[in-house]
Amino acid sequence: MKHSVKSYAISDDKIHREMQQPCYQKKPLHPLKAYELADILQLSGKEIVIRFLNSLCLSVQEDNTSLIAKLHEELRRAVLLKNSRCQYLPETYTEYVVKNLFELLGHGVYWTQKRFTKGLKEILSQFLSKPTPKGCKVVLSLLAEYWNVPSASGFIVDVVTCLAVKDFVNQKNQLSADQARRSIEEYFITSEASIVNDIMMRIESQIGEFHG
Amino acid sequence: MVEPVSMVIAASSKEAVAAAVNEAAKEAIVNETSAITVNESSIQRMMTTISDTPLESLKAQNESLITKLNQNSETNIGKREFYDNVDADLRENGFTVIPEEGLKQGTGENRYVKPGDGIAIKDNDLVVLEKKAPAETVYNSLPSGSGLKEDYIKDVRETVKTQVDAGDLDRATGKHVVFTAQAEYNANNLIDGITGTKEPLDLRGKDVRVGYSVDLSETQNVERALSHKGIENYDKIEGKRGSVTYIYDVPA
Repeated sequence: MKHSVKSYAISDDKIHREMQQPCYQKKPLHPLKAYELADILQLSGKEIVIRFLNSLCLSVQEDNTSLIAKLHEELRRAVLLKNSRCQYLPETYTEYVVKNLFELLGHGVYWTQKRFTKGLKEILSQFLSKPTPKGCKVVLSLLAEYWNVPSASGFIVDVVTCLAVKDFVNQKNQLSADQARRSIEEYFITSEASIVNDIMMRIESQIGEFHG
Repeated sequence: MVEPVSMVIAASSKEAVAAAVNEAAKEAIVNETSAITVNESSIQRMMTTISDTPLESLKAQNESLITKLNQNSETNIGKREFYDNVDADLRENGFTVIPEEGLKQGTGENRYVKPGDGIAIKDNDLVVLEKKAPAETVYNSLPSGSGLKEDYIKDVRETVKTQVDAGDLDRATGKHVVFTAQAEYNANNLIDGITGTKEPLDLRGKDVRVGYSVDLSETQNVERALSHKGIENYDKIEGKRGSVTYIYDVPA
């Protein structure tokens, strides 16, 4: 979808009306705690969310309870690493993850020109709070619809392959196959060996075999 | 369940942070973080790309990177094979060859001065070799970039570029003018003692000359380049493996 200048235009009247409205009446998009957490975690939090999204889309298990538990554990660890004494409830972590997922889907490699499906935020929040196989299927199908692909897993394999190719192409001669494999595993919280092998094969078909 | 009060810590003061974190919390941090590696992960290196580059642009960037990588590896393979062929051809013509690995780079302030691609010795002639594989001369663009660190070569390149732009010289010849300037520079560095060989080499009574080895297909271009530089007297050694080496005296 191409945006015209007109579609971005905001009238002076609208700005005036917005300014008249007291700021406490405006509801933020995400709870304030999620923003506070984002401020503490910064890039390390984003990294965890990227790894979670990749793992979720490639998960072969129907029950993702353990994956979400691991996500919370990693986030809690990251908060500690930042020398912060703040402690957050699981709901805050969930909101933080939803906020970051939307940021990811709105820019960069995970972005597409399609609009978000209505209700995606609520469905994601619900799934992350109470993961069920059915909820997982719904989330994955909505993501596939947003990315305009038959399956979300195929899209993620494509993304990780592209990222890894860019990362490896300049240092191919210094990297062994094992190091390359470990680097790919870093893109996931939990990864299946078969998927990592598949990505390795795709990368090797593009830039040639690693030594060792 | 009551959410514990979060504490805002001034990020500007590390001491304040350290003081604020009590011993128990510190211990927890040590225990909790021991499993986390400190190395920068792939994903952190890619963070800018992930948040800024759409997938299609990333694919296009990768394609161009892969093309570059393949070109480089073709060039390298070509280089190794060709360099060995030149050495073998010169040996068959009675030269003793010291390969590139037997040469020594400059030291001290000249530590970046490279010694050339080998030395060939026959009777009183000591030839400092500059070899150019077909893959290195296949493009008609003038050599540039990091390969031309020395001001002298840069000056030659600028002169050649002006001549090429003015239509006085064709590119195919011009590139050899720059490459031969590099060969002469290598020979002068050996004479001045800036570069040398790993094994002691006695230069007394030796006539240090310039050697420029190329593929047989480049013969005409090289001869035109030498003629352009005013070098008419040279020895031409053709080998069975498709290499040709031009040997001439170091210009004054």
